[in-house]
Order: sequence, then structure tokens, then C-alpha cells
Amino acid sequence: MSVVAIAVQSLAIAWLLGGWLLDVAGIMPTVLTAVIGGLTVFFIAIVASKELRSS
Amino acid sequence: MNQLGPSAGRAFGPLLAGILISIRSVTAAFFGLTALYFVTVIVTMRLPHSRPTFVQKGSAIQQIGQGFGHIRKTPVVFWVIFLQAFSLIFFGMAFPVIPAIAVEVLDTSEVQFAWMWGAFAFGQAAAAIVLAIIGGIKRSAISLLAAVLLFSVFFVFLGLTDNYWFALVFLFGMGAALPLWGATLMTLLQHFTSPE
Repeated sequence: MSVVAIAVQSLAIAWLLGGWLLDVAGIMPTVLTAVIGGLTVFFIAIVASKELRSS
Repeated sequence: MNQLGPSAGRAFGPLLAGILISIRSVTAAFFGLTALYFVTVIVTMRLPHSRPTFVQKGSAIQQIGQGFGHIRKTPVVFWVIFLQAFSLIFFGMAFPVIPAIAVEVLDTSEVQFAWMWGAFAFGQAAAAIVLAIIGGIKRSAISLLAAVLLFSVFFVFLGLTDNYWFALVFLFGMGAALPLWGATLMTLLQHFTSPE
């Protein structure tokens, strides 16, 4: 659970990165970055892990 | 229940703060927050004593090391942690975007902004109740896929809209994706890890 707690701290990075992108790029580019990035991470995990796919 | 508690806080917290700010001032909201902390301290002090059923051995650093060792030996846990850490970096960008949309696009009042977080939390609570009634989704992969698609589609619509009422609907949909995601990842972790 300690490792899970560390992983969840990535939300702080999301706030920082989201705030910075809002400043430099605006709302819609930030939304698209979030969606495309999140979907990419999800599909990387699903394609790479057979156990996750079959779970 | 794990999803309902935080969602209730996210629904009623901003709403109460928004009402206090609109009828009094920001200072009143901070006084309200202080009063809530005071109540929390009292409730916490009145909790019955309990002993943990399992006492972990070793320091926190050693426990983290053991955790990484377990992740290395269990690929599915590695990918669950990978999803939790890296997808959150991207999907978590929604949290700074929502206030930006409220201010720059929708030009909401304090209470209207509070209702935006409320809609998000009500979506989360509604999905948690539905999942509890139907007993969850058997295939974890399907549940995770549904969560990312639901969140992504409603988030893009939220970014495109300039209508406050549509924004509430889209936020409700985004909130509904959270129990599908969170409950599934926690179930996978519990399934593939021993109690220690």
C-alpha cells in the first residue's frame, strides 16, 4: 500500500502540469492533452499486460 | 461506500463554501472550514480504540522496498500501479481545468461553481450506487475501458461547451466514470496482493 500511496501522488503532478498547460496553451489543448495522454497510457497497459486484458 | 463518502464531501463541501462566500465573504468560508475541522477533531477523539489486526515489520523504507519487490514479481500489479500513477497525471488535469472553464468560459457565480463540483460528485455517487446494486462489472478490463471512454468523451464535451447546464451534465458523466475506475483498480490490487 506504501507504493500505491506514492503512485497516487501523481495527482499533484497533474495539477502542476494542467495549470502550466492552461497558462501556455489554453483550455481546449489542455483537455485534449489530458484525454489523449490518459487514453495512451491506458492502451499501453492493456496491450502490454495479458493478465490485465483477461481480468 | 468507499466512493460514496468522498463524493458526498465533494458535493456538499463546495456547495456550503459557495453559499457562505455568496451571502457573506471568503472569510466566512474559512471560518466555516475551521468549525468543520473542530467538529472533525472532536469526532476523531471519540472514536473507540482499536488495534491493527496486522502489524507490519520493518521501517517504511523497507516496506516500500518489499512493495517494489512484489510488484516486480507480479506483472498485473505492476500494470495496475502504472495505470494509477501515469493515467492520473493526464486525467487528473481535469481538476485545474474545471475552475478555468468556470471562470473563463461559463463566468459562474460562487454557488454555480460549487454546483459544478456537486454535479461531479453526484455522478460519482450515482455510479457507485448503481455498481453496488448490480454487484459490479465482472470483467475488470471492460470496466476500466468504460471508465476511460466515459471520462474522455464527457471531458471533451465539457471543453467544447459554453452552456452552464450542459457543463453540469458533462461533469456528472465525468464523475460517474470514477467509481468504475477506482473500484476496479482497488479490487485488482486486493485480488493480486496478500494482506501484508
